[in-house]
Amino acid sequence: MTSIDLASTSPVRADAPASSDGGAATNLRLLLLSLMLAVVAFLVLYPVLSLLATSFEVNALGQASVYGTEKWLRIFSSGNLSQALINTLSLSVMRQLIGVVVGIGIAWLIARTNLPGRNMLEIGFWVALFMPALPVTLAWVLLLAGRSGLANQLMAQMPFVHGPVFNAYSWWGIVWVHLMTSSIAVKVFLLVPAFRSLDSSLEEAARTSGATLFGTLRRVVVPIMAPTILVVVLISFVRSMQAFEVELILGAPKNISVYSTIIFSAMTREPPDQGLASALSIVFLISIVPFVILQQWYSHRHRYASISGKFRNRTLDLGRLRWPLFALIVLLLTMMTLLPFTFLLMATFMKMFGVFKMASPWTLDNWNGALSQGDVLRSLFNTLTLAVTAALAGMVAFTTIAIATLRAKFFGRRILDFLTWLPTLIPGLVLSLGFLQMVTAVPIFHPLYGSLAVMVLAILIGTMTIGTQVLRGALVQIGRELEEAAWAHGASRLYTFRRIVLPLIAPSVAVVGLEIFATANSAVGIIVLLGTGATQPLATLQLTLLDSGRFEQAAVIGVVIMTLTIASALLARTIGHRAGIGRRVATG
Amino acid sequence: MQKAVEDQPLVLRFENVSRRFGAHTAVDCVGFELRRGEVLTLLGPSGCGKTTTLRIAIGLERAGAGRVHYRDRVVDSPAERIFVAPEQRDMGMVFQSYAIWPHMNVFENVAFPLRTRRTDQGVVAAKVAAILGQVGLTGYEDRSGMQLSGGQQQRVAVARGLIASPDVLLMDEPFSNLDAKLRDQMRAELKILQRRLGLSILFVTHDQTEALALSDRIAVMRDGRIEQIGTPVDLYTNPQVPFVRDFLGQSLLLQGRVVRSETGVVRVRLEHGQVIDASGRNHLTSVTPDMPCLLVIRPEEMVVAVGPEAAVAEPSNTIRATIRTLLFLGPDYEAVVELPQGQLASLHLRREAMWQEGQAIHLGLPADKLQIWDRQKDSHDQHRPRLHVAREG
Repeated sequence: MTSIDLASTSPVRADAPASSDGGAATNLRLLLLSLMLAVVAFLVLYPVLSLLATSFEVNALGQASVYGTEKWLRIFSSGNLSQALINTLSLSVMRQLIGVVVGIGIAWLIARTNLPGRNMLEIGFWVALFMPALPVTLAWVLLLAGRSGLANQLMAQMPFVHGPVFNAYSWWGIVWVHLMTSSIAVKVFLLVPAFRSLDSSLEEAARTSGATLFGTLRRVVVPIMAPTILVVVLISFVRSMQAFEVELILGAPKNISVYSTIIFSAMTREPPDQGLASALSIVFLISIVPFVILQQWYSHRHRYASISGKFRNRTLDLGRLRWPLFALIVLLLTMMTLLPFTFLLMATFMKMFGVFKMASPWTLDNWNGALSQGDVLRSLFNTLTLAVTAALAGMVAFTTIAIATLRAKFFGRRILDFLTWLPTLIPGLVLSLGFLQMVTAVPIFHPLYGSLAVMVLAILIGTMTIGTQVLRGALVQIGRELEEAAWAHGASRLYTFRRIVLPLIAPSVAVVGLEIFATANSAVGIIVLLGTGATQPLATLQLTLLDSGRFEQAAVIGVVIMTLTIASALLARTIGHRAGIGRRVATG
Repeated sequence: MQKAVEDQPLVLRFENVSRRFGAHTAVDCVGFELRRGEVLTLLGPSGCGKTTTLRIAIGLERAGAGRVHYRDRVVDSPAERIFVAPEQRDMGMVFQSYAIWPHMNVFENVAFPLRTRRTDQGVVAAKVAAILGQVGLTGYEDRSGMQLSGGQQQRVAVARGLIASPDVLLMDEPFSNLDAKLRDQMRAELKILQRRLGLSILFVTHDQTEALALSDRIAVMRDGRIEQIGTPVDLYTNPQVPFVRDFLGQSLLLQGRVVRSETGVVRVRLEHGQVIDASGRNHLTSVTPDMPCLLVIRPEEMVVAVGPEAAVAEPSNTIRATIRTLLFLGPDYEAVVELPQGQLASLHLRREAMWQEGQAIHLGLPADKLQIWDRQKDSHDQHRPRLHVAREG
């Protein structure tokens, strides 16, 4: 017989080195995964737990710990807290209300109609999304602040106008600046891809049934997209509750305080009241939790709401409205991007910020000063070091975490996934405070105090959610079969990762790196309490300059930050677009 | 050809292989042999365990119990703590999605298995050129995977599966992503390639037409088990279980009760009273008068006539029917006819005659084509599909 003699086969043992599933390799992998889980858990959880502990410390700074509930009693007995809470909520609600209405309209126009230049406009909103808040705020101060504000001076020329019309230092001023930075742009950014996935025959059916353009949007598109829209609103609502810089600059002069600013003032008074700041942070965190839970629960339930298999995407004809709508959106985009940049740039050449009625208002001294001044160049160097280090570390760390949460057979997979979500909950300033306490309280971390390393860690935790989500999205898109095909044809796991997985996710990795880079450049809250003296980055230097009224030099730094941020945003957009990513970012 | 295959050495052998996912048994005591040059198809509805079986063969899943042999060694045997990783098995595989790596061109996709084996650059170029010639893709070397049509992607996947000269090519529903016309063409191409190169193929599909056309042998699977294994003709003409009978092709099922049985002829009284003689394969283990049974016939074996003077040897074996719907398909008509008792049956009618809906016709049932099945056993067969009006899903 020709059949093979099965008894005499020479089997390969599972524990032989030939097998990639050998026991030793598995144990090593498990050990590394556990180590990673422990590090992430520590970095995410420690700051929060530390805040909780500190909130019960009633001793003065630097003295032996005495525990009590004094700080807690104080915040609950003071009226400041409830006023700040009301301000935080009312400012957020108003921004979201306006932002969502305008955002839906623009997103739909870009995604679904024959609006001229809609692809360029989409890029415009991407840039607007990345505009750093502090420099933009500064530009709007120049335009809208009291009598000296340029817009107010223009209005004063008109008849029947008495006194300044606009005031940046106000409740509405804060709302306005937020609308001009992220509140509208983020909705356009997140909704355009969602609207694109809508079957256009649904709209065409509405039009043929006699609905107007607006009627189609209101009665067909918005109801169908309601789940997606709600998730987007909830995401940005949580983010706007965490806002910090704009409120600090525009709110403080008029005593409009929000949560993050009263925490900041508790930390910056002499002597700093860490206990009070910690207690406030905990209350703040807890007040955000319901919204995050709501968002998670809702987006989980409606994950597939807008995804349809086969669909046609034809554009709707706007008719005569085409060009007027185009002009309107271009105007808005100009106000969001070009206007702040131009005026900030202008301010850097002014002798006195915002004072044009001078014999010769222009000067190069601000730039000369900044370029010759040691601390500006040192801060620039610090910022670049911080941003590049964080970007590189983040690309490696988030790729590893994303793979571990998706692919590894590992007991802690779900815990790790959960931990990557937690930072969305923590406002930048609170994170900053938590890390400050970590390096001051744990002896082995003392050398990190005021170092760039601790800022890198804080930036990484701050960008972890978005970073891992983008990479998870990229990994999910790589069909399992692409990897299996490599194994089936003789490639080891490592070789498969190098030849198949890594090249395919490389654009996403680059985009994540650039996002971290941009955040590290422009984020104020996350590092404001960590970088001092020699390690001070640009963003905190700018805040210090603003605080001491040196607006012209703050503007110089603002221009530098803006340039770096916009450049990285455009680069990320180009890379991401070419690879067809950045479409599902942040909705997951 | 058939005889030659049986003399060939074994390439792949499954011995009582099982696999559970939690409480669900995906593969249940599966055993089969694949010989050199043979095409063996695992056929069954979705969820029957055929893909899991294929993935166990390559090592993308591990067997929970049993043994898998490939060439002259055991590649998976949990009891002996043996498991050879997929990259060390030296098999070729064509995935359902083709899994063409989008960042590599056709050449690199096909060359990949050689690269993992650290093959000399000159050899790689020669082998890739040769295999691309075999699958008809010469000149496409520099195309990116994204620029290929479905049929071209499939050819790349086949070329990649074959380039390292594996002893078996595993194919997981390779035609399901192609449109109908291309599917027919690729099916023929694959068959020609398989014969020319003497390939051994383990093929997975839910499409019975594909399975019948391509396979040397078919294993029909259900709920993780192999229900019957045999040549396509054997399975079609001589199904051993109701599931195989109903899964492959169509059958007309007539309910009745046994009147008597003698000399190989079973006389059955149908529900509407008519008495029919059947002398086809008898699946009754014992024949007792009045026991419930089923008469089963393939629609194409019935003789259709307009008048009652039907052209079958047994004059009484003619039943009346009425055409309810008539679909013109081109080569012939597909008709749904209503039998006595309101039962509906689907059959094909010749184009030459003039048919119309509402017309009465007579169906002659040749006795030797009428199989006799046990109705009780049939009704235990819960997954049995009702008479399907459409051919092929």
